[in-house]
Amino acid sequence: MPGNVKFSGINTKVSVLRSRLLSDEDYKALMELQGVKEVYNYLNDKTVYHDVLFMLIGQKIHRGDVEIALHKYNVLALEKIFPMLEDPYKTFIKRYMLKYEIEDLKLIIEKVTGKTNAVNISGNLISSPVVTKIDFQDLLNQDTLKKVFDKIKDTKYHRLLEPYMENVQDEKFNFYIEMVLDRYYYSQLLKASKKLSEKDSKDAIDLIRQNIDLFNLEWVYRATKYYDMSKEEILNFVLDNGLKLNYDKLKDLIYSTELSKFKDYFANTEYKFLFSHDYDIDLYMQRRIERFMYYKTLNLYKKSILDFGKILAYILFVEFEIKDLMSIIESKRYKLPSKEISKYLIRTIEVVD
Amino acid sequence: MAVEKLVMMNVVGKNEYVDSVIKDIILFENVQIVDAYSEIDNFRFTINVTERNIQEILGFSELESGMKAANSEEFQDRLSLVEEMFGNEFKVDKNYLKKDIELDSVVSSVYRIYAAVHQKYLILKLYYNDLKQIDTSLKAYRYLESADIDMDKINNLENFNYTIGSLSKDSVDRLKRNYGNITAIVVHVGSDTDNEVYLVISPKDLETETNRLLKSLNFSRVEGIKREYPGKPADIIKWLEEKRRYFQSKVDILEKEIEGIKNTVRDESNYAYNVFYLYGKIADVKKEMAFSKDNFYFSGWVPTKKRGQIASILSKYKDIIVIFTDNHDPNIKTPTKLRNNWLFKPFEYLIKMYGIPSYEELDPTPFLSITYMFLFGFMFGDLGQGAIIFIAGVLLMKLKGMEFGKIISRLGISSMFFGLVYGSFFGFETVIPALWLKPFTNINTILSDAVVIGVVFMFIAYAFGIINQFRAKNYYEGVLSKNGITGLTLYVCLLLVVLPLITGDRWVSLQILLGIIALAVVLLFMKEPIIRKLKNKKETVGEKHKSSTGHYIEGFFEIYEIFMGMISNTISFIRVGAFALNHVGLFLAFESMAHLVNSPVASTFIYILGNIFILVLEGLIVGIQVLRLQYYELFSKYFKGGGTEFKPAKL
Repeated sequence: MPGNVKFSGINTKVSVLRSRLLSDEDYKALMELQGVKEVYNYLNDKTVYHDVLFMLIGQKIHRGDVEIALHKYNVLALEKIFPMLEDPYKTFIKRYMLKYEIEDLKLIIEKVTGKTNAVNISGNLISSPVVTKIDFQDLLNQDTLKKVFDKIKDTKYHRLLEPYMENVQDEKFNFYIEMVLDRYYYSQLLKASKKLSEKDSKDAIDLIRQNIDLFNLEWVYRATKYYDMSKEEILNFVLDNGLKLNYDKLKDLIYSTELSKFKDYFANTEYKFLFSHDYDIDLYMQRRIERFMYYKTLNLYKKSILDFGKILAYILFVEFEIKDLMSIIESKRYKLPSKEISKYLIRTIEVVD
Repeated sequence: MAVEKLVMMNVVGKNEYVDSVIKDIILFENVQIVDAYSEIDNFRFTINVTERNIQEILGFSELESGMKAANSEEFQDRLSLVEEMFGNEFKVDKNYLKKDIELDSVVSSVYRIYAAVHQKYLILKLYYNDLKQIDTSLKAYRYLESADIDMDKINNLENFNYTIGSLSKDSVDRLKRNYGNITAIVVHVGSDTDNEVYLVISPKDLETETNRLLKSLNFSRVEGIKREYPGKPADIIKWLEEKRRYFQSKVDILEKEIEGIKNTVRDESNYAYNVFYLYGKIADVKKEMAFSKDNFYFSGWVPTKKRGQIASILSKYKDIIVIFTDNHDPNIKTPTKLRNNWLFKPFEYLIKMYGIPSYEELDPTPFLSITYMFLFGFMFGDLGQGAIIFIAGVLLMKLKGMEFGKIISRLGISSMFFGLVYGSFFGFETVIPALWLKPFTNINTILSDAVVIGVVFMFIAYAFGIINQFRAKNYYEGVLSKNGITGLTLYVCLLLVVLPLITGDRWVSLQILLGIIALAVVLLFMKEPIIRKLKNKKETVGEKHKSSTGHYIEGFFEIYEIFMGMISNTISFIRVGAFALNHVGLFLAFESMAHLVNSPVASTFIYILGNIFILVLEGLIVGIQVLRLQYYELFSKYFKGGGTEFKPAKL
């Protein structure tokens, strides 16, 4: 027990933080609201998202601004947590936060190669200055890819991006950048996870690895179905460290299984939910994965007693919640009724007609 | 030893000499620049800014021809080449700039320096570039060194391409596990920091597939293999090395020549660098100034003491008008410049850590310095250990340049002084006689004296607080608040009630004291309604009034808190005595351990260990305790804060 005293404080804190997330009633109310402005007012007046939304008070509310602000809440939630942790957990959370740095880097590259038309890029940068060592504002001032690339000379990204720097015109440029950076992110995350104590964090890490499985499955499915790619390329882009599907299993899947056989292949596994539907496999795949992960996370949260699982679960809850809020905001644009909106949410909210 | 008085200096002058006026102000290093536009907007520019003139106020003004030349792109390019050449050898020093600056001649001197050196420097840069390319090629060919094959042959293969590049360990792993399906021959040829380097040979027909495969593996090509280099890799390397030596010798000669030129123009370039650095600053200052067609308008804070100096410096300009205004507009925050003598100066650091005093306040530094040193010495009085603290402070200051060291060295001196008072030397009580008393044999005296000292300090703090309130023109607060005259009276009466319980004589009858206390409590309780009433006579402000029940509940707890505060603040000072005892007590513990071990070596060791322990741990605790007493017991009585620091324009 004494070994776990280190988690007692933060677990209490996490319980409090979690209780501040939205309730089912909040979701029902949000789904009923008329437009983006009303959703904004509700979140700003009544919920913890005030912390990031208050900055927009008095401005004309644009969907994009609200979404960016909510994204920033992800980062804020992590920033609140990581000072309470000690190494190696602290390092792990810092690695986890790398994803925001990577998102920012992608955005900068898109901007400098003219592949985005977003206007307020500076406001869209979300990485935490607590963690990142890159001066993104400085990168933003560079006008060519080469200059950006020179500025990140001393980071790991340099070597990763180098092979693609000459082929900006290549239509797959963005694809390569994205894939290479994402793979780097997961390898860093898993590397940091190996330092955590097995006892305190096995369930948490398994959850992440299960997420990797699902990413890989989605990737293999989509790449095989839609992309003009060789099997070798598809295999090269899978992420390592999946929980149930390691490299060899994925290789076997890619080289010897037809797309139509995927359903049978996974028939008796946990992942059958992905392919067992007769229709709309593609449309809902992402959401099904998220829903699966959401219930896994709920499970982790309940099961976890004074260990790292609770902390990771909370972080994921925030992410799911923000994704759901995005879906709600997005659906306001199409004026969808509550019942329709609930189909796009990760969590299940019963809507009575 | 006070918050220095500042005056607002407004200057109107002719545009033709604006740059040299700003230069004088910057080199004067005692003027904090204020946005002149806002001064004009608020009609504080009392002179010469008539309606007609205001309408003329323009943005930036650059009339001097010299400055125009200096701002041209061509010139900037030349200047940056000269700066690049000298790297970071230039130093900013205001002594270079004291004389009048002839901008035109500085500009032409930069042109001259540029003309003398730029060709050589550009050639040198080309050579550097060549060397870099040779180095990359060398690196690439070294991977192939052992291959005994003519490069011509593989460069011109009919059906195969080759390339060299690096793969991360992860990617190597992936490659190996899927060898069977790869469309190329992959040969390991070396390694490069974190990566492994491979030679990849693939059929031309499958070029696209291979390229895509390599991209998916994050394959980074090694540059430097040139189709035009014939022969075996080993020969190419030899040839490249030869070429490199030749280039290097050229570079050496050029570098020497350039160094020679640099030596002749070093001072001149450094001067030019300083001049343009100054002009950069001047441009910054101009952004805060206003300009009309002929005149410029400048505003800034100047210490009152220096107004004569700056006025005489500026008086040399024709038609310049310099006006000092003393009356401080309450809407503009006057910055705070603390001025203290060498003894107290370092303690400003502790004040700033808490907050900058406002301009109207008394400077708390002298009081804080004296009480800090006194309390530290009182609690940690030891001639020997004090000397070590002193030396440590001096070393910190000299070696690390830490301002904080100065505070520590002063605390050391105070500790040494009290060491003499207590007769304590490295913890030993018998080495030197006590000038006053030995704490451990006079426990009650030490403890009660500590409280008396505390009471005296509290009185001074109250006095400071009252003066500060009056200076800020908060008369009602100064009289009626808990830190004002009412609070002080209450505190005195409480002391007079309690004191006879210890001394035995009562100077003032208990009834009178209780009467005054009751009155003070009522005043404190009714403070807000009374102030409101008094203020309402003069001004009717639509303030939000609290509901009356709310006020009484809050008031009740406030009174309770005031009483608790007075008692606890006073008793708090017992710790001063307690630490004085503790200091001796801690050493006694080590001393008895030293006696127990019965070996001279071991007991010496324990004595030294004990001293280190006391110095580090107790020294730190005492330092923090005193800071706590300052911030909590004393500052809360008088410190208002909320000021901004005086930041003069400088180079």
